[in-house]
Amino acid sequence: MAENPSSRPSWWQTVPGILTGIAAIITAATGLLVVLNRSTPARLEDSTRSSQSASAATPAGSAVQSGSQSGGAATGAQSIALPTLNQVRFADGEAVIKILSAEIEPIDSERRSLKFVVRHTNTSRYPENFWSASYRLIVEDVPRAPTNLLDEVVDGNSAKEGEVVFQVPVSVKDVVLQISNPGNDKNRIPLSLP
Amino acid sequence: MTPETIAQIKRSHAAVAATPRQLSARFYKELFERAPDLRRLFPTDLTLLQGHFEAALAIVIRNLDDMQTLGESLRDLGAQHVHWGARPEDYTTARDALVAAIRVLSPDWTPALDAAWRAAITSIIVPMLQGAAVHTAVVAEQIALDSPDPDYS
Repeated sequence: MAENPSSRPSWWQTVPGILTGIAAIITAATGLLVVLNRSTPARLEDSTRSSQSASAATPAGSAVQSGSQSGGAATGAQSIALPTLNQVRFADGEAVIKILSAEIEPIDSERRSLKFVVRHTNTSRYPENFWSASYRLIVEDVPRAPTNLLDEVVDGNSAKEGEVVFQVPVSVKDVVLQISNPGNDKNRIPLSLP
Repeated sequence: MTPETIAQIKRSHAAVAATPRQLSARFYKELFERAPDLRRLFPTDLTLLQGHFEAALAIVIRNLDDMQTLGESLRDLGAQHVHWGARPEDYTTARDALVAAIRVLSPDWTPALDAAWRAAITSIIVPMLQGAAVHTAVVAEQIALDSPDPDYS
């Protein structure tokens, strides 16, 4: 025969039950905090970036603090002085690729983003590819592909500008931008980072 | 290919590629007529792809007298085409489509020009297929190395 439930003390009234209950409440509260934190990643990321921007705002070496990218707020991006060699030619000079600017910006405590703005001038009659595949950043003898997708075509006798972005470890100070064409001609432009 | 054949192709290419996207548009039309099932491998809007196609063809035509320089790039391109779903038989379909497109746009088409273009396009697709084969073999090797079955490793 079954016992009468009302004759037994409630589970909540037992010491183990109370301890378990407290643990459950703590677990639930912790879970709620995690959920709340995860629900606002962009805001957290932005505030983190802002604080890093502030610490990176001090000019270093030849770097110059750049203007704001959005709404006048400092972004932490620093312009990099371009070397004298900032232009390469391919295909008997019919393709000219010029680096217009270079900028570095902190991503987190270990990585920085290195962004080039390049202009591809095509003086031939035919279209030329203007895409990420042509660009590699040599970091400590290891080639790295761009982290953004540049996928354009420059029609004959015209020019286009685009961005090529790489990630580099914070500790790296010397890199080489390698620009190549399908004929495997490779041009290398060394750069010093602040 | 002889220097005369290469010169013939360069003249022909200059004529048919004078108007941007004209040749590539005709090529994709011919390709999808021959193999409608290939259409799903391509984006809906072909504009950018047409530009890339004409750029790639121009590079090949410029280097016809020294195709070795393009070997690595063409093999890489073939490896990429594995990921895009291209089958070996699609390459000859594409060759036929390109020859047909050039023929349509060439008022002075001759059997000799037909043969010259086929030879030129073959010099493109052979290294691409080789690149696709090597890529597939490397993937097979990697799978075998990862396999617990000693017969494959």
